[in-house]
Amino acid sequence: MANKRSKEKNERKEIKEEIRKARKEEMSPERYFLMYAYPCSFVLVDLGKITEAKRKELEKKLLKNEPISKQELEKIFASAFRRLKQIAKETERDYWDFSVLRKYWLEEHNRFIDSGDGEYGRATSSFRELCKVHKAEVLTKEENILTVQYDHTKRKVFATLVPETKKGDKITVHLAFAIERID
Amino acid sequence: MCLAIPGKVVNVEKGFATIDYSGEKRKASTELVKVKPGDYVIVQARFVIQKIPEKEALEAIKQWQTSAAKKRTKERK
Repeated sequence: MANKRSKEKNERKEIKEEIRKARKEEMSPERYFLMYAYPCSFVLVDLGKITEAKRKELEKKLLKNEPISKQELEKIFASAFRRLKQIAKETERDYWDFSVLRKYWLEEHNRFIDSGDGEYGRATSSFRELCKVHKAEVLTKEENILTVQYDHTKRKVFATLVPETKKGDKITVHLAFAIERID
Repeated sequence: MCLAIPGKVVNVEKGFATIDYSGEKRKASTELVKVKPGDYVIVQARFVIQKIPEKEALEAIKQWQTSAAKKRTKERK
């Protein structure tokens, strides 16, 4: 009996996993990349590397689900693509492959920061922590603001990219934004 | 690269902080992070998102000014 229940539970879990995968695959790799790079676009404006008009244009495309140019993303986020190409080469895949993008944002991105790659080499610890992608749990949600927790850090971030998120969800966080729901 | 520039809080009023960036002043909401005058902070999308220890902030500002000056020299050439 217990076995049957656990089997059913496993089957339900598998179905859920399939649905989640299918949803993700509907998303274009450009969109997936930009979700994670979106918080950086504000910083690029502050640094004078892109205009506010360009940032808003990217934001509109991201939030309204409009097509996004790969070429443009590669130009704007050049250092991310330098690292993506490195990972792609090691794993023998295309650098726009979902698995490469996922590996970058969920694993390698933080490792690059810790290893002091590029400009991160001069960054002190508070900046490094802020730039990292963190896996966090949603503690509370008030309109567009989520209180999240990871390790011993409790912070408030925007729910702009994951409006359907609720208390108890596991999400990723990059700078001031919740990025996507994870298991 | 997405390393942000810190600024110094000079005033806090009605949920907004006035932040000084080496002379240029900007306002940001303190809804995500509570701050007080003298704090060094990072702002994103007009919201204060993180407080930074003074020592680290001053180091980052110095680095940023150095690289901005280098860029200007390069552009003049």
